[in-house]
Amino acid sequence: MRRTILSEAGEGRALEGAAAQKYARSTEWSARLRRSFWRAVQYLVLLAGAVVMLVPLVWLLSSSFKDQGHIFLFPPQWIPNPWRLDNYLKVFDQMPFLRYYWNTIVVTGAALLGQVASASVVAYGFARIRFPGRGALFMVLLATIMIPYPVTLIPTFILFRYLGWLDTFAPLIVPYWLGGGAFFIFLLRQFYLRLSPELEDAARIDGANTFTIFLRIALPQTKPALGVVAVFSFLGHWNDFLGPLIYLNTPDNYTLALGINLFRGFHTTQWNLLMAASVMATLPCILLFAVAQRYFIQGIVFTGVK
Amino acid sequence: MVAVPLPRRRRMSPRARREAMEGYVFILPWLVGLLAFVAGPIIASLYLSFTDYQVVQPPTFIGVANYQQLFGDGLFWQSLKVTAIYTVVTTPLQLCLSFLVALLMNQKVRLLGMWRTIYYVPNLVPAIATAMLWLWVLNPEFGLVNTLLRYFGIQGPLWLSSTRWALFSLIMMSLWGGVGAPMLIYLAGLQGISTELYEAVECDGGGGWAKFRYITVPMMTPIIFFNLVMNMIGALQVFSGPYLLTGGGPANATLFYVLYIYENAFQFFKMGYASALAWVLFIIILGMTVLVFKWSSMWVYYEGELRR
Amino acid sequence: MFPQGTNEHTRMTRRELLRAAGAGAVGLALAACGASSSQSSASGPGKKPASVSGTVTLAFYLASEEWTKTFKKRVVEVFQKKQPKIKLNVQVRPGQDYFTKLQTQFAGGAGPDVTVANMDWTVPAASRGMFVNVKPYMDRDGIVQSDYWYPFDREWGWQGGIYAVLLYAGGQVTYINKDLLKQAGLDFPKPDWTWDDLVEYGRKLTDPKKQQWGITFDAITPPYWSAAFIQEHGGSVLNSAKDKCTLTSPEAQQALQFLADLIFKHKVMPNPSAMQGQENPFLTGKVGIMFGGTWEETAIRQSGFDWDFAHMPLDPQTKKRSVQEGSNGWAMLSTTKNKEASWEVMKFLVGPDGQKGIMTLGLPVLKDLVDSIEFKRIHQPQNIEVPVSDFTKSGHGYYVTPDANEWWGKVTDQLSPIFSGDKTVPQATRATCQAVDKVFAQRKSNNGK
Repeated sequence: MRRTILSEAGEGRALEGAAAQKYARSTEWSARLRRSFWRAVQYLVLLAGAVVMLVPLVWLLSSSFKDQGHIFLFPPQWIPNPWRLDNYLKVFDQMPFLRYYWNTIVVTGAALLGQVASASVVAYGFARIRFPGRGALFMVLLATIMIPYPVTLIPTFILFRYLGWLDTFAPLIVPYWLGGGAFFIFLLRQFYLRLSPELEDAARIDGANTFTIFLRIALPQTKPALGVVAVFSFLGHWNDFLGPLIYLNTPDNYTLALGINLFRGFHTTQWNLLMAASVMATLPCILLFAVAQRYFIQGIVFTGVK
Repeated sequence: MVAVPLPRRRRMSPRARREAMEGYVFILPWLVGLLAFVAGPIIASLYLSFTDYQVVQPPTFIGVANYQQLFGDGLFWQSLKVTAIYTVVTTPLQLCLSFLVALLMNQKVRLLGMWRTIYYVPNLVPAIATAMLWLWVLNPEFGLVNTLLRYFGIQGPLWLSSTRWALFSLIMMSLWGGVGAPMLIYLAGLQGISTELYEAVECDGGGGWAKFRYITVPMMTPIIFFNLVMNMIGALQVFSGPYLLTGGGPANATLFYVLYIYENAFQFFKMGYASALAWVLFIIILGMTVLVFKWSSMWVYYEGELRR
Repeated sequence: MFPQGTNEHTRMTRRELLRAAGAGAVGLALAACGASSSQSSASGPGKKPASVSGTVTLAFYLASEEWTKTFKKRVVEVFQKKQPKIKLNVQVRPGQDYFTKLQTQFAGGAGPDVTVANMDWTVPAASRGMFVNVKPYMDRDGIVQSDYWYPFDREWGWQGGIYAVLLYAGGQVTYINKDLLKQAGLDFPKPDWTWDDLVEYGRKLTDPKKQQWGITFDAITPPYWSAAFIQEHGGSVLNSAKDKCTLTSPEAQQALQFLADLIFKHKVMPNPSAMQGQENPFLTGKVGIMFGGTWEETAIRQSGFDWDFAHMPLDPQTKKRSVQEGSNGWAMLSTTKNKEASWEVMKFLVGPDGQKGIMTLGLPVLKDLVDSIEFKRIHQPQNIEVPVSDFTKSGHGYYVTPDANEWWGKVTDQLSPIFSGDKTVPQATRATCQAVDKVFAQRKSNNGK
């Protein structure tokens, strides 16, 4: 595995030239000092940012262990007192949370697969294959996400009702197998367009057909982008509230996002339980992201014909 | 509507025809989805924009009355203004900030995976939890922000309750929550730049800046362009933040366009009017997108451009 | 992979399939669905059928922690025992976007049969044909106002019809932290205490050093809570015909000024914006007097300090008393296929058994029940008779109109700058009335068409 990290190697080599000069040692020393100074600054910036980014998670975690009345206190109470571990048990007590987990996994998994598969195929078509109307169709594709959802919600609902899909997972899955949405198609198109065409041309000369070229040459080179699509798609479906809200009726079919919102009522919200449920819904996302990012961000980078 | 100029009309060679067929096959899943699930509702909403549709009653055709009403509606202009300010401010800021963070995340740093995960956390926490957190952070009396300001002797504003600061508060929040996604896309883009290109610059004696200026930035333009278009469209359609936190207030200071559409559609029984509003926004977004696409040919660099 | 829905509409008839095959004609489908939905409201009930059966889908959202459990155990189960022929299918839904989903389902002809009713949208939706007028059913089956202390038509009436039956009542209550009173050496407020006394109590209870405040309002929409003060002072939010905003009247402005003074002049009340994202400070024992909702009682009961209900203070000049009230109800969607069965469910819910079942969840609306020892015992040691007497003698409705959903939002939005200090009372009330009257003008011009 090769990394594409620019700073280190380059600087090192530039300094080799400098080392040959008169005050070699002192220059090297000061360079090292300067480098460790910048390194320290880098870590400080990273750390400061990390604190800001982590506040919500820490708050969420700590709130999920608090008494109902202790969440929005001032001055903030970071360590729960008393600890209410039973918040988590209460969530399971009040609703079939495991069932919601399973439903969410099914919907997310099925929709994600379809979205990644179909978006990568369609995007390749828009990026690399010439056909009449390509530009216009691409604009149509983008145009479909320019209509705000409130005004298409009811017609779409009626459509799914006629298909007999209400209270099933079909409206939450099937459309994503057909194109996967403008955002992802556009994203992958940009990544394909950025590839050097040499490899693909060479394969074509060797007699490979377009689908093989797409599958064997283009797709592997855009692995990081596919990873991004998978992550976004996962989060989109995992946290989707409106889709399940509109299409699912039977409480046993609910997803996690709906379950979490069941704690919000007429006038009062059971914030501690809502937070506990949120933690349980969020942790898998964080773990999955932490594991997955290693694979897709530091994926193999093709460096061209060898 | 056309961003990429159509090829000149001429008889296609058998090879070109074969390729065109392949192209249609590749985009077929999308075409089917478009016709089956997307086009119908969109066309229906266009039709509804010419009707009086109170949601729980069948629509009645009223011609262009909704569009006429729009121009005299002060709230329409107010929502347009709020949305425009938000878009103009947040889009460039989000783009730059996320690019910087992505560059930082692409360095050799210890525990890289951990940092990346942490910087992505705001995108992983459910929206309601984040909304409550912000209410709590921005509380004028006790919130973290004003408490900090007080250390410096500054009496902070009422933030979300102030007609002057509410929009600013939402902009601030968008920078916090809106950086993760473009950052991730940039990171993926940075991975795809071949090291050979950098080595070539080194051979020519170029340093870090030269590499950044002549390799990183040009190679990233397709990705920057993507983030620009998508962040712009996203900003023009922003909804959940104001919906959960301010409800458009106080005194319409955060009445975003899509929030106003939503209110008309599902609270005021004015789905017809909401549809007209939506189509006006559609025209605005489409126009801006086309402009950005036209402009992009001046600065976006595609390796595969030859295959156009 | 796809769970089979219990929804009746999952299977298509051949005719429906053909219609759907008309493909892009979603617009037409829309018109067809809508049309079928609105015709029904005119037809009243026939004679009472000898036996009623069928499935009724009942949708609602949670109100509090013990809500679903209590409701299922003490209401649904009891109903099923009494009416085994009617299957009650209970759907608990998220509170967020509840009405959005309800409208979408209704427009698509796939809604539940009975829904919980919220005063923000029920009459507006009923005036457009979404709900069934249940007055004929009530008359037929002898549900009479004289048995109930809460008016049937206050939130659910429109043009002589009644579009929901009562679930329970609620409204504005004056809560007193007795521990703080004791510390400040104050007696419990007398039944005829006034605004002047309120300010005095506020002064003596406020202690900036301890971050302790005299008075607070429920964090939800302060302008709603202002209504009672405006009414006591002789003003109103709307005129009696409910077609003109009257917040610019001197009486209304003076009352609003009094409330603003509590924050800015007397400094006995925290700024409402300081309540955002904060736990209600009354619950944490940091406030002496709270004007809050009946639904907060459970939380206050768990807070651990000594407290009780007080009467709403009187206006010192007019000597009038007014409390803002409200209720929740159950409404029947006009798309329902089985009206008699749905009505049986609603009748049960508003009747003695249903009301008894929800007695611990809110204020029951049957006279016998609120007067019962059993009910009073639920609220002991506090004296629930105090707020009940304020409600029954001085309760004021929610100004429901067919566009309540639209103009109430404007009142909330436009009045709030008073309490943040961004606008003066005259400025804000003028802006409010402009916005509200615009809504009414639209209604009039639409009716004229």
